[in-house]
Amino acid sequence: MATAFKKEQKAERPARGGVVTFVEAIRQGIWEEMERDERVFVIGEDVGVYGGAFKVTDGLIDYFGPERVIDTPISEAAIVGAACGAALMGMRPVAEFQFIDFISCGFDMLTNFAAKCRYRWGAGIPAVFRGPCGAGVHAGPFHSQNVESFFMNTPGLKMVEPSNPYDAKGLIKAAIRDPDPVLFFEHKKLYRLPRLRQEIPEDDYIVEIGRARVAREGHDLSIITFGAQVLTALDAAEELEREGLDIEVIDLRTLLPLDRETILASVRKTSRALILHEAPRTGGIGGEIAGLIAEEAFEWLDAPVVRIGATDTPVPYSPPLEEYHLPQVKDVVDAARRLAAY
Amino acid sequence: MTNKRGSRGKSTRANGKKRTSNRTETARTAEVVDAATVALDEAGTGEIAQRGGNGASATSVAMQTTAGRDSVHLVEIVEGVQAPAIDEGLICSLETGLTREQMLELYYYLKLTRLVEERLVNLYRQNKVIGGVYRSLGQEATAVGTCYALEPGDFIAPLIRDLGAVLTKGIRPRAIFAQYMAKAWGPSEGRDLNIHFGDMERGFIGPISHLGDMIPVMTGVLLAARMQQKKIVAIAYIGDGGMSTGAFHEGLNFAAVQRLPLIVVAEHNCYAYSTPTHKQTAVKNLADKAAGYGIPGYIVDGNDIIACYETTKRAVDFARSGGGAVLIEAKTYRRKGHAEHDDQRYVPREELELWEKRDPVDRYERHLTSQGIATREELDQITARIKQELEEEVAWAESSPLPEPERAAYNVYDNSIVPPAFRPKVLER
Ligand SMILES: Cc1ncc(C[n+]2csc(CCOP(=O)(O)OP(=O)(O)O)c2C)c(N)n1
Ligand SMILES: [Mg+2]
Repeated sequence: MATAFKKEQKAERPARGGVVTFVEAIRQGIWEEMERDERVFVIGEDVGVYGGAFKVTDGLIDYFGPERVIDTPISEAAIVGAACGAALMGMRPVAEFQFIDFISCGFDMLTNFAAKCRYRWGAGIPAVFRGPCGAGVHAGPFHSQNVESFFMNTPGLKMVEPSNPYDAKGLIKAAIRDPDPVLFFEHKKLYRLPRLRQEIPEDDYIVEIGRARVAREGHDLSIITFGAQVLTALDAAEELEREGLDIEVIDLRTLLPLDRETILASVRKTSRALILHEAPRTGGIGGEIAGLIAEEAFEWLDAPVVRIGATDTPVPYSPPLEEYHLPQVKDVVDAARRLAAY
Repeated sequence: MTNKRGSRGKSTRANGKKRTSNRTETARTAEVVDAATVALDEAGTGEIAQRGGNGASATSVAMQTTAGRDSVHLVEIVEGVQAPAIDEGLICSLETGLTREQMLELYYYLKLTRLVEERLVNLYRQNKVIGGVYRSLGQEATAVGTCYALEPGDFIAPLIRDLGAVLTKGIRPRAIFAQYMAKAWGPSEGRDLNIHFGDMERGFIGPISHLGDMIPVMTGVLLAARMQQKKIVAIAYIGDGGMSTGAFHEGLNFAAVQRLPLIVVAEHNCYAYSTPTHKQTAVKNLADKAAGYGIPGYIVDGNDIIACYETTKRAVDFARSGGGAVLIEAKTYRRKGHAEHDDQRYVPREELELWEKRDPVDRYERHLTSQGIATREELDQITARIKQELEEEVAWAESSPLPEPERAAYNVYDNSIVPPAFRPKVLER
């Protein structure tokens, strides 16, 4: 069937590397993987001519054609299920949720089908399920969520959330090449954040899934975080430095499976741990990390493990409410001071 | 007009009869068809189109999309009828049980919807609305006309573009403005956006963003109403896109087997974000899907407010008298992008121009004046009254403070049982 609309110009192939934004890095990563491996294809709502709600897949359809850039009905269960089926057949689908909040509509497919195939009958599902997550843009309860803890208790899924362009590109490529299902969360606030613009290599590279990164080295206290909260942690660290506190920031990058070694090595060095995430605190993955530290690094601790998250509420729309709900630099600074003084 | 399909869906219209003053004497303004047959044949639709062009009654709609466009998703128009011929001078369905006062009230709500949205766009451009603005420009008649067929005790679950239904249900514009502006006096006190709030008193169930989810919810509303021996019906609105969800299917199927009085209004506005309808569904008409649920399907011209009212009225009567669920497809068009940020680069210009001529407000004004129902001056007076009202409503909303930050912590649970979710103190005792 002919498509109803044509673009006048073929999109330009993105540069390899260069100085890029977060969104551009992800787009480059998908683009290069589609060039490298013809089994890779993109599937989701409005990902074709429109290029996705956040333009992550912009131009792909012109280059790779509608067979490899598939616009779907509003049917998340079908998107996930079809990606799984295609992956079983040896393809490498990259499925997009228009907002990660809509992952709930594909929940059953992800947690029961995708996550359990290899375990049950040895059939891996090499598929990526990606989408914009996160709050702070006044988008209200249904376009702002962070969903990692919905899936943390589902063995068989991997979860990745980058905090900068370099990692975003390296991780999306690794996710596409991974033999198992990977949920890939992109904080929408980072997409075009000028502060994150960064030079990335021209050459093909990946960032290994399952490896955290020391985003800032320090000796007094470890802030363990990921995604957009890495920036909150770094800002807090800078402020605390002026008070003579030397903060280490761990950027988890992969949430499932957790990089236990990097977390534990940091806490054993600093003896103080503060876990920071943007999802509500109760039931958030901070609890899992705190449990790990309590079990494996108890003797090294000089203070209780502290968790900072959003308040235990939905994400509200109005700016004063949303600001109250989300963890702020000030909350991290205050908690870190008390933790250091404990 | 004779029905080309034969006996089924037989029209009971009295030809040439303009209107009656009895609202309950419902004229047949749409083809109601049984579960197995929905789509109109081409000859029939052609005739309808021509009659519309002559300024006479347009019944079940026939529409044409952009010439040459591959559009399996709209009822095709018979060859030889040029698009402009059916659009210029087009008025609304002549057969109606609405009184003059009711028709003017309908005009009030239609115009109110248009003007509230225009104000919202202004406020958006002044950065006073910080979330998105989702226009229903060009499709307002569907929401207003269908909702107007409900009784006060009936329920609706609107979509984001159904501001018209919300207003018709009696929600004041000030609530909408305050909500969009994230103000403390808005119905959700700044917690949610746009029309994402509810009002049980007025029969307005607050929707969520996740499309399709309101269909099963409304099924539950009606299940309960039946247990409570309430004779109410409900309208759940859904888009051409939202119909592709699993929740839609499960909800409508359940309502159908329970024979619950659920009226699903499928707003066929040709796009779901950027996706044209032929990528959502392989059926020709959305109403064709009724067959899969064993319920009646109607097709109505969504830009003819009278037809929208009459068709829904009929469905409402059918549902309320125990007939069960009904699917109404309203054929219309989304003339703006998905939201204000969307440049509509995927929409051909000609298509927009074509549909501008089919503007439902212009069309209803033309109808009211040409049929001697109201004078231009009377309509201008209504418009002036609305503008005056909106000045006050916007001023009220603007005068509201933003919510206090700590209010974010309230109302997650019943706070008489569970305390508010304040930001926890860290290492503070
Ligand atoms: C389950 C789900 N998936 C994706 C979205 C994102 N989304 C919001 S509106 C929209 C398009 C809706 O189109 P349609 O149902 O035709 O309604 P319209 O906007 O035309 O009124 C999409 C994809 C959503 N709200 N819910
Ligand atoms: Mg639509």
